[in-house]
Amino acid sequence: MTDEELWGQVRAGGSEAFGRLFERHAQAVFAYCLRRTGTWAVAEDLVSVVFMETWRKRASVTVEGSLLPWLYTVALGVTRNHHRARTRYKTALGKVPPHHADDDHADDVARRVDAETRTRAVIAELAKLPAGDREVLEMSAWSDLTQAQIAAVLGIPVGTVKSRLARAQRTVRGALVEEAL
Amino acid sequence: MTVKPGIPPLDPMRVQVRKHALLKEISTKPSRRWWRFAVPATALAAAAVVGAVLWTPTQSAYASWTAEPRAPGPDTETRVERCREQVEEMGTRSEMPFAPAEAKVVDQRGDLTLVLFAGPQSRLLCLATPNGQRVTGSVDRSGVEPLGSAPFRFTGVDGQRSSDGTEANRMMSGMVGPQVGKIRVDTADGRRVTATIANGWVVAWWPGWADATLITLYDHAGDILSTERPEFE
Repeated sequence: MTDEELWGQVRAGGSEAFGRLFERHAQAVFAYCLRRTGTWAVAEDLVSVVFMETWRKRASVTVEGSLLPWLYTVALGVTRNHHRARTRYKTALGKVPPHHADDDHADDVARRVDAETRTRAVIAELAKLPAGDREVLEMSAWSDLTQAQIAAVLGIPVGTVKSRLARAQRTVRGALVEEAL
Repeated sequence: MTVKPGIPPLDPMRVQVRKHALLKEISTKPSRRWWRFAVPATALAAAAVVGAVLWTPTQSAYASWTAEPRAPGPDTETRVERCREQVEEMGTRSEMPFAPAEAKVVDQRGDLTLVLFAGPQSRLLCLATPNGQRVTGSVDRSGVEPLGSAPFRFTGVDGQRSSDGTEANRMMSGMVGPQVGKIRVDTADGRRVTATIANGWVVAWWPGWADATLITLYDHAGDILSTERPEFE
């Protein structure tokens, strides 16, 4: 079943369909949130926030093709001020059975801290860019969205996406390696 | 360094835990302030799913916590050793450069012991309670940069939460220069926590999930040297 079909059920109040969309896209949203925040636990919380916000706004959202562009739109907003986003949903997040360190193997802990270390290093490098340029570059590098979709997510013209992306690539080239650069 | 750092997959069980919690929340939505309302019977099924795999703590584990640290007690060394064993096991079982795991700071509050282990490329925190010990922290493959002449460098806030959300903590750590005599941490929920300083490092922790909002540095005469605002949670 496609995202569009599931979203049609969600708009009619179908929570099971929403659960399937969550399973389908949670990892992509998590990866984006972790790369934006650099903290595993925060990124996990923000995945929940993104989907709660998506559910809350379901009546006003139309999905064509994939739900991911809309999820990235919400994720961008909540990661811009994740302190405020998590505070807004503090009570709901408090009900999520949290992760417990004793449940982990050492390798799992190592994978998480390694991922945090790598993402924080990239965050530090990208912080040298103006916010607008950085968000375009991040969306381009971390999602599979087209430039037109990125423009819609960021609420800017496609031409601006292209110019900001080119400028950001020039700035970070050398410090950061990526095929997209 | 790649602009797209690799992200390990979420544990499938964690995805299910989050999904069930999400569905539980949205099923209770009578208004825009839906999350404040009571959980219906459907929540019981979700709770049963996750309750079978996650630990449920006692709510009193942090009851003895104090905002001011105290001198180590007779049980402290035993807990430090248990933490050291756990940290060394992590270093042995993984390829991460955890070792050497030298205990730099021991922070004692009530019967709760927090130990900071720091090596050339690692910073690990072990919180030992009467119920056991848990380790968290971070690794920097490029090495820990020396503090130099700066009075302080914030290295991060870590956190741990229990399976039912009743037991959570945040732990702040950093490097500190000899000119600093005391550090106080203000948190978002209004706590004012005095940190423990030793061997050029500082740690503080507090129950709950509130962020550190302000770190105040004092000299040995008690005068304020500077204030810092944490960049990361």
